[in-house]
Amino acid sequence: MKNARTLTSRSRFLSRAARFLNRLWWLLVVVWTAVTLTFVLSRLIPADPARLAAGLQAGPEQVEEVRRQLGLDRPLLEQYFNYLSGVARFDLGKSIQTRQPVVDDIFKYLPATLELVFAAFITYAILGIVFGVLWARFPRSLGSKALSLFTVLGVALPVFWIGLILQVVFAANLKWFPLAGNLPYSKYQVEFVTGMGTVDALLAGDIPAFGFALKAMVLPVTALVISQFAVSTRLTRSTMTSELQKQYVTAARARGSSEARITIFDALRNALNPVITMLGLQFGWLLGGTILVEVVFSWPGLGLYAFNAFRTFDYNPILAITIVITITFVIVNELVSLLYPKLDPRLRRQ
Amino acid sequence: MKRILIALVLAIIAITVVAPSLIATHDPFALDVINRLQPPSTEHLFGTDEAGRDIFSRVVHGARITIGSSMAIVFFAALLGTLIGASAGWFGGRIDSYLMRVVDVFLAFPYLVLAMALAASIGRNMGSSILALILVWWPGYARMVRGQVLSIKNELFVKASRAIGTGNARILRWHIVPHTSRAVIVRATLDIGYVTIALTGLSFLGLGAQNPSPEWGLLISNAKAYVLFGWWYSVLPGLVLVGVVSIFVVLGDRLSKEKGR
Repeated sequence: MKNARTLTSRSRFLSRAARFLNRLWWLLVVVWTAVTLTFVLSRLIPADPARLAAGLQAGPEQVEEVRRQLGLDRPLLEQYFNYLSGVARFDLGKSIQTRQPVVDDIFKYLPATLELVFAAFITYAILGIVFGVLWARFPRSLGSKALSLFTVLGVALPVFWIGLILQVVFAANLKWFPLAGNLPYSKYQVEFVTGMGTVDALLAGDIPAFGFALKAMVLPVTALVISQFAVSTRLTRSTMTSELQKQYVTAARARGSSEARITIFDALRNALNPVITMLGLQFGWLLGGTILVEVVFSWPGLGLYAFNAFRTFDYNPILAITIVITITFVIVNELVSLLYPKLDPRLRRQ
Repeated sequence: MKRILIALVLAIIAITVVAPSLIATHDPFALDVINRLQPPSTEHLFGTDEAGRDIFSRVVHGARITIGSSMAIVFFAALLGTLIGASAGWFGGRIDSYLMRVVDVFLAFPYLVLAMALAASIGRNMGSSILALILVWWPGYARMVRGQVLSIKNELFVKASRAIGTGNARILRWHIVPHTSRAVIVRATLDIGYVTIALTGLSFLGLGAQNPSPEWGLLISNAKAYVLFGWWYSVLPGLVLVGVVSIFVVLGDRLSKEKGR
């Protein structure tokens, strides 16, 4: 008996390890594709990266010098392998614009982006589920009609435009929130520790600064939430509606369970799985949408860094950001799929 | 009633795309610096921009670039996706597993980020944005068409056609692909809306159209600097954009619901 149990636990461990290696391999393939695709496309174009890196005033000799420095005079295949090995060693070159190693820049700007993304993710996940449940529960109410209109329009709203509207209304006219930027570190004399304005203000014990940092987040987070809200709400509603029609709900009613109890503890739990998959997928979209929102609100995160890199043809940061976001996206989706068995006991047996 | 309304709006969009000069009130490129940043009036319906250009006329002329390009992107993405998806589904085996592996890799990316990286690496212009979006949009069609092909591949009429010696290409073209076209059209209608949002997003970041083009994303990007001085500049072109996108989304929604009938 004991023997049998260790055997199953070992085989379970092995299958988990195999699964993990499989996913790791997949992650490598995805990142490799991103790196290769961008490399190939960037070398196909007629524009000369050395010329761009050297600047407009540079003479022919200087351009040649830069070309040698960047290794652009080597054969294409050699350039490609140098490039791949750089990526593998987390050496993504220097940014032309900040003159810092790109990896250092990423670590500097990433926290501000994560601050926005996490705040938006949590907000729209909660709002989406709550409103989706209410919508399924009270389908004929006025609120549900409003939701149905809003969710159709919601997917048609470009996130950068929502951002601008919020700026026009709440920053330029009502002056409730700051127009742009996050925590002004020098004004509040808060030390730059993590790069997340709210966290740094709390670490410094500066309550007014914390208040300002929170206020600065409101508009960008709202823009992201509005752009994402429709999808999770609609999905929650449709899965909840079908769950509420199932027999176990009728049975629970017959046993005298309260409606609130049935909705939350019985139906919602079963309806949540597809919603969580969707939220995971949306996370990837959120990472893309953040770039646009950061540009609108001059939020000093990866998106603004990417935007400045686009403008100056600063090539290394663009590639680095693509890699970082792709890895984050794949990992989040992986974590989401690990969550399923925790939420749905039916999947644990398989 | 709703049907007539949708048809009417589509007709207006079509006219705007084909012959913008019929609707525009001004030359979209005519500078008039004295009248810069004027609020909306009967003379300038949407007001004027930082160079005194008529915003309404710019929006009208921009429709051709924005909507036209989005339609082209969806068309080529659907074409490429159908070709690859149909071949994968029809031939099966190794071809199928390789092609679908490629599709999976593409679908594993956050598409907007990939499109940004591609557009930035090809060069900042409209052509590169269009190419980048085609590259990130086709895999969805490929997967969908493959599924459809798999489901009708073993139908009797296909077997019969095979039995009388019809070639692969001919069966695909005349017997398989027509059965997938309905789903492709529904998806494409919805996608015109989504692609428009993505395309204007790329232009907003400066990766697509360049000044002085009246492309909508670029137009709104220019308006960003004047949020404090003129609400109309960012709000009104955006409203038109939202209106056009929601028409395609609503239309796609309705088409997909009618599918069962």
